Amino acid sequence: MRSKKATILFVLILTIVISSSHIPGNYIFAETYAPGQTEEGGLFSGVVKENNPTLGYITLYFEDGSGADPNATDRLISLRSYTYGYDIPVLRDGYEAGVDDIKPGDMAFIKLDKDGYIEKISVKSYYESVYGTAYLKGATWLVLKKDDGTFVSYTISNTLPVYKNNRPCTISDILVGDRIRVLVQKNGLNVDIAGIDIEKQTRPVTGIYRGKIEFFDSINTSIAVSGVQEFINGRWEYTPGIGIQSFRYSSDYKERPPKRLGGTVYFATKKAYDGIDSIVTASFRTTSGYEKTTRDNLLSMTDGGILELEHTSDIISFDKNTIAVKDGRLVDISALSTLDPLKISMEKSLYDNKFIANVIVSESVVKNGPVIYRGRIKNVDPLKSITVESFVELEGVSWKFTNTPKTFDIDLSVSRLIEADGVGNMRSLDSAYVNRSVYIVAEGSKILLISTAPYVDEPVTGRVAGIAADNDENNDENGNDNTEAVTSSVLRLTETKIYDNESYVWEESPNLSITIPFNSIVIKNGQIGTISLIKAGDEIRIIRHSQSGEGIIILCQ
Amino acid sequence: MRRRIIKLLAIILTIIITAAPLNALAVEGTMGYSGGISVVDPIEKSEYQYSEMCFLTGVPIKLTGTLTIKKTDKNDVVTSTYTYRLSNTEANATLNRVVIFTTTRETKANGQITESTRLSRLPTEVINVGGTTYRLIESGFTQSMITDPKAAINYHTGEFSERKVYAIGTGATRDTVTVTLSGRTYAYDQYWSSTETQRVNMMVEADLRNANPPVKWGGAAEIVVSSATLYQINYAENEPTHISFDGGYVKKRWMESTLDYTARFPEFDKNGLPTDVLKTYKDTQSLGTQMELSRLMVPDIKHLNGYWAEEPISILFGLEILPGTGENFKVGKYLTRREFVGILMNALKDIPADPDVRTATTANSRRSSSKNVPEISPFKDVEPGDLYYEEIKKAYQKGITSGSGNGNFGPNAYITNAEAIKMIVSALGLENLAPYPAAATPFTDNDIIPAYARNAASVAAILGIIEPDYMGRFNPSNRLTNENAANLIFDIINYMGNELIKDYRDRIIDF
Repeated sequence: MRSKKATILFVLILTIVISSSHIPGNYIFAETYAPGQTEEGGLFSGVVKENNPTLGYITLYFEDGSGADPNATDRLISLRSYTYGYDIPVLRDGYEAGVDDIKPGDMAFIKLDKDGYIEKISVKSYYESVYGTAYLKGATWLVLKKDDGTFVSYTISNTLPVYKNNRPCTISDILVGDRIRVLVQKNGLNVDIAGIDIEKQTRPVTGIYRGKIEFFDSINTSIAVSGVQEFINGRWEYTPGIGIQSFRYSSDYKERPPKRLGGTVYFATKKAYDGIDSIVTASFRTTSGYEKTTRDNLLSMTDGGILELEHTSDIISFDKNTIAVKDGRLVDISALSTLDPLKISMEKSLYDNKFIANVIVSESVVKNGPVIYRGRIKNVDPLKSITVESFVELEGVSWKFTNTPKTFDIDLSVSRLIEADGVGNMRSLDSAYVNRSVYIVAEGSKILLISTAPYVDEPVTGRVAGIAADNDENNDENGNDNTEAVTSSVLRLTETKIYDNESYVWEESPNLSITIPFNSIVIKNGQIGTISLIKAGDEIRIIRHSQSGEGIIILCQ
Repeated sequence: MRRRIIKLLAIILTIIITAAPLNALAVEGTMGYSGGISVVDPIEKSEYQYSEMCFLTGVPIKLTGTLTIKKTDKNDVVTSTYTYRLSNTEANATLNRVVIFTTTRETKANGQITESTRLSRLPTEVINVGGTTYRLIESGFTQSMITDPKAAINYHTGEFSERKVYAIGTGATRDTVTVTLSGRTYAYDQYWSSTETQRVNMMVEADLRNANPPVKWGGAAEIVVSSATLYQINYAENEPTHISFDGGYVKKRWMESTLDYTARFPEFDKNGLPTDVLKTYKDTQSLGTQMELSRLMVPDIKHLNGYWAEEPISILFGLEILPGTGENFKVGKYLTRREFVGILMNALKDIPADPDVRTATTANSRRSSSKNVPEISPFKDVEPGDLYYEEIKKAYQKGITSGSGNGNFGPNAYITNAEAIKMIVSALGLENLAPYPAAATPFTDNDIIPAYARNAASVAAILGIIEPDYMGRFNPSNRLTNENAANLIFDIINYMGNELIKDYRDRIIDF
C-alpha cells in the first residue's frame, strides 16, 4: 500500500516536472519569472543584450542585470536566449513596432508559447538625453561637445530622425555650433541613436567685442571693460556706451581670466536664459600695437596653426584663444571650410613677422533675397493676384525694363501692403489700386510686399554710422493700441559713394544723412524687415529719390 | 477667570497658527498661472516683484509690478489669494487682478500628494490699455498637481487650464476678448536649488462686434516661464599674505526668473483692423534678486594644501557637512556606514517649506500625554544617543537605507562603493531612469556589482555622479575613503545645485 502511494506520488511529481519544463526553440532554459509573476509560466523579463532578427533570437541579461562578463556568455545564451518566428506582435514604448526595433538596452517582457517560442514581446526603451554643441560634423559622424566639456563621437546616417522645434528636418540642418540633444541608448558596445533635436531657436552670437580690461569682478562674475568696440562687418566700431562697461559671464562659461589682468580682452556674447547678453568666450591678449583687419577666403589651414588665404600673403596664425564664429555660431576653428569667406581681426606678433588672428568671422550661408519689381497695376483679382502692365526689375543698382504684363500671386498669410500713412490691408486691395505704380517684392510669383513708395533711381552706398528717428515723424494719431507707429528714420552714412547713372561709375561723396520713410523696402540677408534690421557698421546700398533724397530701397548683405 | 481662560486659549491658538510646523507644500506657485514671472521682494513679506505679458490688444505689452500671495492651509485645504498690481507707463497700461484659489490636497498610500485647485469665486480683473478698458466678465480655472516626495527632492508636475472673457470698453458693450490658457508645470524643491517651469500655450480671440465692419481676430503665444533659486560657491583669495588662513569660499544665493515667449498675432493696418499677415514677436525677459552672500568657515586643512581633493574637502567642511574643523581629516581613512550616512544626511538637508503658507490647525481638546515615549531605534545595533543616531534614523525613515539585513544597520562596517551609491540614488529618488531593478550597467565589472546596487550604479552613471575608473570599472566592493566620500558628496551637491536646473529650465526653453 505504502509502495503504491509512493509510486503514485513519484509519478505525480514526474508529471509536474515534465509538464512544467519547456524546450524553447533549440535552447534549454531555467524557468524564471518577470517581477510579480509567480504563478503563470512562460513569462520572462530582462534587459536586452542582443537582438538578431536575421537568425530570429533575442538574448536577455539575467534578471538581476548580470551577464555582461564574457565568461557568462555561454550560460546566458543557453539560459536567456529565446527564438521568434515571423510576425510576432511587438510593442515598443506602447506603440506597435517590428522586431528590428528592439534595441540592446531595452527592458523586455517576453511571453513564450507552449512550444517555447516567443509568442509576443513588449519592450521599453531607456534612451538617455545627451546635451551639447555640435563640434564637428562629417557625412557619417558627429562630434558632440557635451555640457560637461567632454567630447563624444556618434555615427550618424541620413535616415536618422532630426527635429527642430518638433518638426522633422535633416542631418544637413545641423550646423557646427548648434546646440543639440542626442537620444542615445548605450549597452556595451552598442549605441543606438533614436534621434537628434536641434535647439528650438538658435541662440546666435550677439556680438564680438574688445576693449581694455579694467578688472574682473569675481563676486558678480563679470568683467569691466573700457573703450569697448564691436566687430561689425569686419571692422571694429565703437559701441554707443561711453566709458567703462560691465559684461557678465555666462553661467556655462567656466573659464576665468588670469589673476593679473592687463591688455585687451576679446570676447563674444550670447543671450543667456534671462535674455541678457553674457560672455560665452573670452581671450586676453597683450597687444603689440600693430593690428589690422582683413577680408579674404580661406584656402586651407596647416597643422602648425597657419591660415592660408586666397588673396593675402601675410602669414596669419591662430591659437586656442582665437575666437571663431561661423554663421552666427561659436565654433572651433577647425569647423571653417575651404573658400569660406572670412573677416579677420589680427595683430602682429611681438616676436616675429607673423600675424596672430584674434577674431575670425565667417558667413558661409548666403541667402538669396527676394526680387524687387516695380510696375503699374493693370488688374486686381481681390485676395488672389495682381497684374502689372509692364515692369522693371532691380538688378544690382539698375532697373531692367520688361514690356510684358506679369501676374503676382497674393498669399494673405505673407503678402503685406505698406503705404505712406501706415500698414495697408491686402483684403482691401481692389480695383481702386488699378493704375497705381507700386513696388512688388516677390519670391517667385508670390508677393511678399507691396509698397506704394515713389519711383527711385539714385543708388548710394556707404557704411551706416548711425540711425536716428526723424524729428518730423508722423506719429499714429488714430488712437488704436495695436497699430504700428508711422515713423521715419534718418540713416547717417560714411564712406559714401553715389552712382552716376550717366557715366555708370560710383563717385565719392561726403557723408550723407538719408531719410528713410515708413514705406521703404528694407532687405537684409534676404530677409524683408524694417529699418530696425540695420545696425551701425552695416554696409548698405540705398536707392533714393533723386529729388526728395528719401531712401526707398535699402539693401544690406 | 473666564476672560483669562479665553485670553489664554486665544494666545495658544495664535501660537499654534503661527508656529505650527509647515508642510512642504507642492510647488509654491509664486509665478501664478497667467504666464508671468516673479521674484521675492526683499523687504515686503509675501510680496513678489512680478512681470507678465499682456496680449489682449494683439500686440505684446509688458506689465510689471507686484504680486502679493497669501495662503492659509487648514486641514489640507489651502486658500490662496493672489493680488496683482501691474502697469506699463510707456504703453499707458495698468492691470489690477485679485484671484482666490482653493486647493485640496490628498496624500496617497504611496506618499504622493495630489492637488486639485479651482477658483473660490469669480476673480476681479480690470486692464486698461491706452484708455481702453478690458473687464473680466467670465472666468474658469482648473489645476491639478502631483508631488512625489523623495528623501532629498520633491518632484512635481501638473497642468492647468484657464479661460477668461473680457468685455472691451465700459458700459454695455458686445466686444469681447477671450483668452484661453493651458499650461504644464514641472518643478522640484530641494535645499540646493529649486525650480518651477511652466510651458503655457495661450490663445487670444477677439470678437469686435461693434467695429465697422464687425471683425474677429485671433493670435497665439507660447510662453515658457521659469523661476529658480540657486546657490553657488566661489573661491575668494586673500590679498594680504599675513593672514591666519588661506583664501576661503563664499556661498552666493539668489533667485532668478525668466520669461521666454514667441507670439504670433495679426499685423494691424493703419485703421486698427487686423490683416492676414501674422507677425511674430519673440522676447526673453527676466527678474532677479540681489545676491545674498555668506562666508563659509575656513577649515584647518593645511596638511592638504595642494592636494587634488582640497577644494571639495574644504567646501564640505565650510558647509559643515564634514564634521569638525579639518585638522584631523585623513584622506585615506575608510568611512564606516554610520559616518557616511551622517555626512550624506548633512549634505541633503531638509527641503524648505513654502514661506507664504500659514498653517491653521484645529486645537486638540485632549491634552497630549506629557510622558516621554521611549525612543525606539529602527535598527537593533544602533542605539539612541549613538553618534549619528538621528541621521541614521532619518535616513531609514526617508527610505535611503533599510539597513544591512536582519534588523541591523552595521554602523561600524566600512561602507562600500555599492552601498554608498545605492543610498545616494535612493535619496534622489531617480531609480526609474534605468530598467528597474534589473539594469545592466555600463561598467566593465557589471557582473560583480551586487544586484541591489546595479540599478543605482547605472543611474548614477547616467547622472554623471560617478565615473568609471581607468579600466572602466565601478569597483563595487571597494571601501569608500574620506577622499572618495568627499568627492562623491561634492558631486551630489553639484548635481542638485547646478545640473538639475538645466533639465527643468534650460533644456525646456531650448528644445
